[in-house]
Amino acid sequence: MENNHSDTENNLRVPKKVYNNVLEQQAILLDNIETQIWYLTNEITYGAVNKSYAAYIGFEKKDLEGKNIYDVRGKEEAELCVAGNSSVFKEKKQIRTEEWVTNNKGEKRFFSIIKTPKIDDNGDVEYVVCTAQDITERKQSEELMRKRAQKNEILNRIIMAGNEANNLNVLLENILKSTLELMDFEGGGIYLVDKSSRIAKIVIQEGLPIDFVKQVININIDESPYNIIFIRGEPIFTDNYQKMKPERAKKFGLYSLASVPIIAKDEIIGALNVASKSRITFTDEEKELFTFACREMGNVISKLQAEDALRESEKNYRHSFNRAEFYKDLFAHDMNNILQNLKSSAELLRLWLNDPEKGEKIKDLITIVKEQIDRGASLIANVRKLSAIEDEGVDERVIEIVNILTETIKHVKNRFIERQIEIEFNPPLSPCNVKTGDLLVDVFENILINAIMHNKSDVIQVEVKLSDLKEDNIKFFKIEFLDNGIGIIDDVKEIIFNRAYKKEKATSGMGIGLSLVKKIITSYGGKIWIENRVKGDYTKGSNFIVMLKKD
Amino acid sequence: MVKVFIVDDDQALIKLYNLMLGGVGFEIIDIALDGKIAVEKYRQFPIKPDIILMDYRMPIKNGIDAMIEILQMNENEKIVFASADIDIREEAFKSGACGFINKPFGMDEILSVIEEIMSV
Repeated sequence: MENNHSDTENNLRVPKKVYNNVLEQQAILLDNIETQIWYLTNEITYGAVNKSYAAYIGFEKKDLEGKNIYDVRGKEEAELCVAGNSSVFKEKKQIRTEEWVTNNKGEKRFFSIIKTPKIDDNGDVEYVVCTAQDITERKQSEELMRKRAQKNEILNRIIMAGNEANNLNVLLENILKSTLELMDFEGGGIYLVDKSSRIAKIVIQEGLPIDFVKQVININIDESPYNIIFIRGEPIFTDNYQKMKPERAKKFGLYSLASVPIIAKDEIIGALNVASKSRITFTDEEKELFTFACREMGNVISKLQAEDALRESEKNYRHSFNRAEFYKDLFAHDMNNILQNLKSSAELLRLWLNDPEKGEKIKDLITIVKEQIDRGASLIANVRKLSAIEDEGVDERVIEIVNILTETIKHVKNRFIERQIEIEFNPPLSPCNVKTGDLLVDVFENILINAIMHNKSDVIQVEVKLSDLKEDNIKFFKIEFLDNGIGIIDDVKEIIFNRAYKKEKATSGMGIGLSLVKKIITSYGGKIWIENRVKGDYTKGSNFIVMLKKD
Repeated sequence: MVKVFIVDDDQALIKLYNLMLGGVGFEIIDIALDGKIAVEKYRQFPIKPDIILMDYRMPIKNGIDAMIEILQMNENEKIVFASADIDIREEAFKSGACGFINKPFGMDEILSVIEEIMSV
């Protein structure tokens, strides 16, 4: 028995020794790893803890063991911790969380925490084993990657918007939509600056209350606080708008606003404004993202504006080039025709000068020479005028047309003194004022000269009529020039005023004079067209009809 | 007498053609002020002209288009271009013109071209 008792004691002593060794080894092991480990005997009481945990909290191991959590941790963190503990004790299930935990120096680290219940034979929680792994660096890397991904996404969207848009409005619409979507804001708008007027204007908006937009649609960039954005180039983030402007915030349901300058090549070209109906503040991350987005927007907008400017410049160049080619071609062609007539006339005159039988024909030749010289002078003058109108537009003032018509008729008759010309004009007694300009003389002159030049009758007859007309509620004077000339076939009536730059040279109107006429009339807001003098029969002459707005 | 059909929109030149050619053995049978009228008139001629003096740049239909249509009616018709447009010379010959003379031309020039073509 004694032997048995000793044996038993010996048997117990050996496991106890081993057991103690194991405990000691465990303790050494647990105290030498970075992972924080602690036991909980209940929701609020520490059991054993390892060195790592104790050191983090700022205690010695022995001072933590058996302590109440509320006595050693900050109130907020203790409540969070106890809430998690209670869940484990109650549910009897493991939980995993990730949370920020403050150390004894007040620094926060991010931990992955696992709390595992030890269930006894009765099914109750005997204790809970907790482990915590410091994953702060991993968390920061993840956060950095997430931010980068978000920035890349914004950048891609903005670049895509730039590539897809072929005009500024489409670009701004796409950019705004993408930014609001990515940043999860309800509404926003983009301002563009007009430096000459010192005004920034909303050019595109989405999701903002209309009444709110109306109040801020145009802003003076020199006024405070807008100068902060548009002159200093600094963003304004207005947190808690309800506190700042309670009435306005309440009226439009806005909680926070931001205005971030859009900068392109060091120049402030506009601003992005966003508004939230739910968020009160902007996080630092959001502020950074907005600033980033606006910088990229500035680059893309600037690129499109440069492309637009280039396209416009190319268009203008092409137009100028075509115009120069057109005038060069027109001048060369028409001048050659005039020179042909002069040359042929000169040769025939030389041939017949001493032939008394050719007296009448010589007179005809001299008339032709005179007409061709006038034609040349008119060509030069008309090309100059057309070019000037295209470059500078027309000047407008009040003109009394009866006077102009009377003088022009006199002048034209003098020019064609060798022809028998009857021009009938019975003007009204009251003044007839129109808002045109001095070029009206060229209009009337060209029409009358055409009526005379394209007329084979022995007696050239032109009737000038002046009447009133109302069209689309606008009052006009209608001036008709009815001649007994060779007439104009319908096909030619369609094209007679045309001498377009891009048109093939293959066909022509009746001279640049009528192109000039049309240009002048349309520049004054009037109209011109041709009808037959006798309805249905072009051979009986033409009726040139001009409409001019009454003053 | 050589029968000539004149197609040109310049009425002063038409008068001059009459004066130049009328006195030296040519008969101007008709004139047309544009290509479209030229084709219509040519179709109606009971006796076709010996030669057509054709301008290029005219309203409605230009000289080359008119020439092509006339040659479709009569491939032997002789058409001489008298034009201020020097750069259509090659196209005119390719399309069937017998001669091309640039404006401004002298009387001798045009008479010489016509004679040469008529002698072929």
